[in-house]
Amino acid sequence: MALFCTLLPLEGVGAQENPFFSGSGQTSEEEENETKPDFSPETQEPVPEPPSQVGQNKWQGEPRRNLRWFALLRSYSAELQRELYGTLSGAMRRVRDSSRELTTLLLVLAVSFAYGALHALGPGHRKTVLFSYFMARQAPTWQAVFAGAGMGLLHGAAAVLIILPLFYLVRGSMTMTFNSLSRSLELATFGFIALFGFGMLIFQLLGLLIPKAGHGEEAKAHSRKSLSLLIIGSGLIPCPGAAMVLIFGLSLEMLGTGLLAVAAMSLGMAFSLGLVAFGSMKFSGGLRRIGKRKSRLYEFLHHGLELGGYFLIGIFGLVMLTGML
Amino acid sequence: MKSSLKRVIFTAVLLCAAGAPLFSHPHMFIDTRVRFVFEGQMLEGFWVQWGFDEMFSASIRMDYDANRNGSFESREVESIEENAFRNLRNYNYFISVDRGERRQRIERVESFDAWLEENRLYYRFFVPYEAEVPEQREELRLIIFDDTFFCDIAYFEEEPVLIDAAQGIEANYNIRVNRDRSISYDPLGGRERNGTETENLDYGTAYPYELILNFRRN
Repeated sequence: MALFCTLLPLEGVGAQENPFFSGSGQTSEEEENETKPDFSPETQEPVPEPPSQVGQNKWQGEPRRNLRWFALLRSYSAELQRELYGTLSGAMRRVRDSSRELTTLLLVLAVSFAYGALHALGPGHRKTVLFSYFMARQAPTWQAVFAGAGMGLLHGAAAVLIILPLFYLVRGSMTMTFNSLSRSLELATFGFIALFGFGMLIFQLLGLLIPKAGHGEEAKAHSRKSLSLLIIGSGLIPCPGAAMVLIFGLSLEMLGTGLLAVAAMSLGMAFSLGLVAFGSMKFSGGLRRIGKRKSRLYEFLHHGLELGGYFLIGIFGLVMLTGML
Repeated sequence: MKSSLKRVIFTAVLLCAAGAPLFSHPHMFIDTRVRFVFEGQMLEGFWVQWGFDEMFSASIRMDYDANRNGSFESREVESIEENAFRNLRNYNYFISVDRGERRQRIERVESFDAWLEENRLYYRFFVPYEAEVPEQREELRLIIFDDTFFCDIAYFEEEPVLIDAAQGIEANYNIRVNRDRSISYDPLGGRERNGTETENLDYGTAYPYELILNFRRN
């Protein structure tokens, strides 16, 4: 079950690059050598006329009752996000047109929060890392919530920290530069996650071999430091969704509203990730409580979860890193 | 012990229900329209038109509408094609066509165009796909789906499909989800993205819409 839960959110985590921009996807040698087709009027082969507005037909979508529950959830989630995205852009436009009317602004914030909360439940490395970390380590509730929320807030903040300088400095290739910067940050992050996981695994193994190591106040302080490091190290990949929202705000010449929307979206992501971290910790605590304290089962579960959790973080980082290279 | 077990199971179910299944994690939303073109007794190919969400539209406008006049001149369109479209060939332009047992991934498209209309960005391009129109009714299944899940692609409500059929050709279409044909994708974003038929998987897969074109000679 632990493995199932850990690996499920892994799906799609390596697919956060915008496929429209150069650098994403793998270009074959043949494609790299291929010359760009010339569509200039002199050389262009005659092709049929483009679509005209003729014919009458409508598409209302198809009832999805024949889908299995997983695909159904996916389908509804995508549809809801589409709806929220459209509502958000419409509301931001109305804020501008209505001279920043308060109720419209509140609508922007509410929709941004909801979109962020739903968005963060999609695939992402943060959930895998949070789940594995709190499987491995028992921590106070506030630390779990803090870790999840911190990662969510950093996800949005990283987008702002990249987009704003790009907007003022390299206008003209903002989205493309954002995409390639995101890719570099992803590489660094997955490298860090791999190092962190395996480093902590070695540290815990040493703690088992040398019982004095890894106990007491010093160990607690060490744990807090490692958690902070993990939050920062794995939270710095910018959120493409937040970047889009900010760019949209900038295009409407509403930097303030754009920033507020990103802030609300980040809070939404923080909320979801905080919940995931909290749930992971409770799950891990429950597993540990199956065995009686000091019993062999307890010891087995405790050390198994500890080592397994860090191993999963390490292997996850390594798999993602090698997959991107 | 019993209550601990219950708590564990309850939390596990909650975690799976809350965190895992909502895999769809799109950052862009696209509406698509397809127009099939027949010439004589041949299907020549099809035009694909994409309408993007306002956010992506704004980012492309900011980057490529150099003179800020709210429309794209030919040089700007070329730049969009080069920088914000051409890379899609690494993803087969999200398009695959099935005819009988044969699946064709799209490698080449033509006549790219981009324009802005009511704050929305549109792309249009022609996909050459030659097929002789048979005597007996045949089925061609077109799937437009981004299996990296970055883009969520649906059909336009109005006129999702247009058919330019020459005289002597009978053609009609249907759009549906084929629950027997799922798409599994490589979480690491690998090059190989062949659709696989997975009858019994409930997770890790998606069931994209299929546009089914039925055609034959009259």
